[in-house]
Amino acid sequence: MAVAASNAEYADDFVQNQAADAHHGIPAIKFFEDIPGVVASHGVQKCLERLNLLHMKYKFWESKFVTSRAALLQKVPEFTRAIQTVKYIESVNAKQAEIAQQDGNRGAPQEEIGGEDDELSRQPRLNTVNFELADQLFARAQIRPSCVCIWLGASVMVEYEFSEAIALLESNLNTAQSSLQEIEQDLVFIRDQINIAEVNMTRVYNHDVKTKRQAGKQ
Amino acid sequence: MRAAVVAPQDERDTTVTRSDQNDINRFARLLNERIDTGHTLRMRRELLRLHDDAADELILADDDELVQHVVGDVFCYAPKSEVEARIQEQKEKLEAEIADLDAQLAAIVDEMQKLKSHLYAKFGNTINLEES
Repeated sequence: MAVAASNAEYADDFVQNQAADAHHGIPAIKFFEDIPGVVASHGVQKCLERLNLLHMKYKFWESKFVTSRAALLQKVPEFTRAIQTVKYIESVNAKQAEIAQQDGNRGAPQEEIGGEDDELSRQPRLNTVNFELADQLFARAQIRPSCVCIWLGASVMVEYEFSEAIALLESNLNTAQSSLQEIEQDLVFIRDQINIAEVNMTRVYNHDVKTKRQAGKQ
Repeated sequence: MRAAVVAPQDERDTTVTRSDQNDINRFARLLNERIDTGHTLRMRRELLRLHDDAADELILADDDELVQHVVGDVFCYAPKSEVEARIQEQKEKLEAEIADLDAQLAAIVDEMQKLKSHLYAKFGNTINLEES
């Protein structure tokens, strides 16, 4: 996410350059150590204008990062749920195989799961699911998956073996979690800059008020 | 967090130092964290309540019945004992998470309180650290 372009042009009395890879090149704001000095060299009006502009920019970046954080916060539980589901299907499959084997050993006729028998579909079994067909509309099915399909995006869905699917989903989950962490750190940084901008503005303003009051007294 | 315009009678000659600025930033950061942690905590508590309800309902079910439970987006059937174990496991996970969040929140509130008294001592009512 390249938010700021080349940051070389940003450095001045108000902002300083960051390492190019830190916080997407967003410059850090300078804390005014010497308010009278800054005001003397730039003028109150110019200072406030510039700080206000910077404040707006940081606010804009903040909203961008808040949006991407919200998207990631939604993705993480989605991946977790998908992983749980694949693991569950896998365990059900294993159980079904066990039952089938026991039945086979006893010489019982092996039932065809998901057959045409109406009785079967009415009697829930371990591999029966009620799935959402449309909003608030559910249908019953018996599933016997040997693989799962993962929506990769861009209108592409790919079939995976269980273990491969879990590996892929887990790596997606890790990626989402680490970018979430990165975004949290960027947000902390940006919010710090917003605070510094606000405090700088207040200090410039108060300095101005004070100078004017003193001038009035004289 | 915003320092308001100083009224003449409140005017103090306090210089804001870099370390004060760091304290202010830290306070703002903690405030955000407190809001986020509080939000997560409420959601986890609600989820735990739902699991409790589910566990209570399960007691009423027949032992040899297959009960429905949510996996991902679908309802699956499983023996009662298995679902009970699943819910118990989830509950334990949630309880641990809640205890952890509670501790985090307490630490945040504690540090905020310290920063608050420190900053108010220096800036008096030229600074406003209450939530707007």
